[in-house]
Amino acid sequence: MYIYNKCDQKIIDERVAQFRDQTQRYLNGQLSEQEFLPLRLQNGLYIQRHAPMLRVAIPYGLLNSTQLRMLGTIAQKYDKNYGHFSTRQNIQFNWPKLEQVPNILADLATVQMHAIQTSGNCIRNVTTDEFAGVTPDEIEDPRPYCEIIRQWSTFHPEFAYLPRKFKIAVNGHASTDRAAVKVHDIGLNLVRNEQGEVGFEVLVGGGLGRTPLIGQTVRVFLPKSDLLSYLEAILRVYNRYGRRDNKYKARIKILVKAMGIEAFREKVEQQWRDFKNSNKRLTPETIEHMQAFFNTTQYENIDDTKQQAEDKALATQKENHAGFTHWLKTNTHPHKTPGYHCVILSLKMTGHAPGDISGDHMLAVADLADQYSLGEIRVSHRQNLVLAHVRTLHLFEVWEKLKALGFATANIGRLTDMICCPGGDFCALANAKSIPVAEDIQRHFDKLDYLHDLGPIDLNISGCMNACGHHHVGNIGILGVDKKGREYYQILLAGSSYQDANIGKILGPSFERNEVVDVIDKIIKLYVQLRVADESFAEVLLRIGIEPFREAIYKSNDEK
Amino acid sequence: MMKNNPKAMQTNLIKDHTIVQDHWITLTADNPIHQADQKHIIVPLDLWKAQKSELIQSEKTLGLLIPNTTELTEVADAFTVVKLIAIDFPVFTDGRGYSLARIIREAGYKQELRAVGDILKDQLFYLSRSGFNAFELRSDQNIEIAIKGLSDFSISYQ
Ligand code: SF4
Repeated sequence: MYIYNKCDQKIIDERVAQFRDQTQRYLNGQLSEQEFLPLRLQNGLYIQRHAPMLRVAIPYGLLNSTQLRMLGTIAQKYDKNYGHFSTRQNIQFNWPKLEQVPNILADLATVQMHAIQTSGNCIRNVTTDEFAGVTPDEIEDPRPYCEIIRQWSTFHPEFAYLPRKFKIAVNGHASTDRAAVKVHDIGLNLVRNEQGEVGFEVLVGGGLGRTPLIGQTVRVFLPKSDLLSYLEAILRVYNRYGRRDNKYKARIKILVKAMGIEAFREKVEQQWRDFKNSNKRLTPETIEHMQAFFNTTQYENIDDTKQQAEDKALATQKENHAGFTHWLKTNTHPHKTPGYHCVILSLKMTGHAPGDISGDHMLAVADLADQYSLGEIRVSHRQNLVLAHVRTLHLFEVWEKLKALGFATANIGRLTDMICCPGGDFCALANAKSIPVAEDIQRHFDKLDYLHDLGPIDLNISGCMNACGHHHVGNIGILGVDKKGREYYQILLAGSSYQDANIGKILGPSFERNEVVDVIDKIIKLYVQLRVADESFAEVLLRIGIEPFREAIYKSNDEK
Repeated sequence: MMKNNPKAMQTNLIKDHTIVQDHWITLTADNPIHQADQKHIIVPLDLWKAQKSELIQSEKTLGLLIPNTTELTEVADAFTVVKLIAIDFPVFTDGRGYSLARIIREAGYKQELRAVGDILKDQLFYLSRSGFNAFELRSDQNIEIAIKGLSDFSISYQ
C-alpha cells in the first residue's frame, strides 16, 4: 500500500497544527460559529445529535494493521469504545470531545491517517472496489489511480469551496462494479480501447439524496495520462457553474441535468483542451512509481502438489462443517494468486448496528490481519471488513477465530447484509430510526439456510432522504419519513448499485415501524413463489416489475 | 517601520507577503472618475465596459473590480491595460473566485491579482495558491495574525 514520504507526513502534521490553532481560536471566541463551521467540516468534524462526530478518512478503504490498531485505540481512549464504518469506506467516531479532536488528529497522523476533507463542500475520500488489486477479473488495479487522485485532491486550493460535496469512485472492471461508480459525482471505469490501451470511461452526475440520478458517460475513453487534467476540467466547470443558491440543487448532477450531457461535455472538453499540454499530465513514470506501492510481492509460491493437498483438506473440512461451507460460499471471494482467498468479515451480525465495531475488536482484527493476511485490512462500501490475502490452508482457522469474534455470520450479499445509516439514534437530520429496523429484519430472517436459499439481495436503509444508507439502490430500499411527527417507512424496490445501476421505485404509501418486517416478509415470500429455477430477486423484479409486489402488499392490507 | 506609521497600522491589505498601505481607490457612484483625486483607481466591471476608451485615455492608473461570475472574454482585453484585477468574494464559502483567479493567471495576466470582500485568515493559503498575490481582508480581521495564514503549509501536492 502507499507509504507516506516526508512531504506527505509534513502536510498532515501541519494540518494538525493548523486545526489546533483554529479550534483554539474558536474556543477563545476569536472565530465565530459560522467561520469555524467550514474549517471543522474540512477536518471531518460534525456536530451531531449527542456530541460531535469525527469522520476519519480511510483512503479507498485500505488499512494496515498498525492503522486499524490506532483506530481501535482511539475508540477506546476518546470514544465509547466503538467506531462505525460508513458506506464511503471511512470510519466515524460518535462521541469525541471537541477540545480533544486536535489530539485525536495528532494520534492519527502518527500512523499516516487524517480526517482531511471527509466532510464539507470539497472533494471527499475517493473510493473503490474492496477487492481491488486481487480480484481475478479486473483490467488493472484501480488503487494507484485512487492514490494519485487522493494526493491531487488533498488541499486542492481551487476546489475547497465547491457548491457542494464531491465524491469520486474508481472501478477496475469492465463488467462488474462493486464501487457504485454510477451513483457518484464522478465515476471512473478502467477500460481497454480497441487499440488495447488501458484508460478510463468517465461518468458524471450520478448521486442519491433528494434527487437520485444515474451517472452519464461524459467521455468513453480517457487516456491515463489525462486523468488529472480531465478531472480538473470537470471540477472547474462545476465550481464555476454549479448552483449555489439552494443546497439541495447544488450537486453536480443537477448542473449536468440542467445543461444536458452534451452541453456539459462541450464545456468540459473546451476547458480540458486548454489544460492538455500543461504540467497536469501524468507521466508513465509517475504512474509506475505509484503502481509499485501496490504490487504485493509477499505471496508464497504454491505449486500444484501443495495446492491439491490444501484443496483436499479444505474439502474434508467442508464435509464436516456445514456452517463452514455456508460461510465459504458467501464470505469469501476469489483471489488472483493461487492458494489465496479474500475473506469478508460480516459486521452485520444480528443485534448489532450494521458497520459498528468495538475498539477491542478492531485490535483483534488487526492481529488476525497480521497473522493471516499480510497485515492488511480493507473496508467495503457495504460496511464490512475484508482480509484480502488468506491462504487456503488457513481458511478454517480464520473462520473459527472469526466465529469467536462474532464476524463469521455467513450473510454477505444476502438479505441481512444490510447497508444502514446511523439514522435517528445518532443523526440530527434523521426523520426516523434506522438501526432498530435493521435489527428487526435481522431477527426475523436469521435462519441461514433460508437466507442462502433466497440468494443475493441488497437491502439498504436510510433514516432520511439524504440517503446515506443508499436506499435508492438497494434491491429493497427502506426510507425513514416523517408523518406528522411520527416515524414511518417507505419501501422501494428494484434498485441496483452495480453495472446495471438503477434507482428503485416506491412501492406505495409508507408503513409504521412495526409493519416493516411483515412487508419485507411478504415481498420475499412472493419472490420465492414467482422465481423460475434459480432466478435471483433482482432478476425476478427485472422480469415482472414491481406491480405484482405492490398488489400483494396493498391489496392484503386493504383487506385487513 | 510599521510602528512609526500609525496610518499603516490601519491597513487591511497584504501584498506579496507583506502588510502594506493601499494606494488604490475603488470608484463608486458617489465617487465617479472625475472626482477621484487619486492616481490609482479601481473600476468596477460595468463601468469599465461602459466607458472603456474614456478610461484608457484618462491619466489614471487603472485597476478592475470583477464579480466572481465574470467570463474570461469579458476581461481579456483589459489584461494589457490594467495594473490590478480585484475579484470580489461575496461570502468566503463561495469558491468561484478561486477558479476565476486561476483562469486569469492561466490566460497570462501577470499584474496584481487581489482578493476582496469576505476574506479571512483561513482562506489566504488557498487564495495565494490559486494565483492571488494581494488580499484585502475583511475589516474586522487582525492582519498581523492573518498574514501567518499564508504559511499554514510549507508544501503542496498540486
Ligand atoms: S440518511 Fe439521513 S438519517 Fe441517515 S445518516 Fe444520512 S442524514 Fe442522517
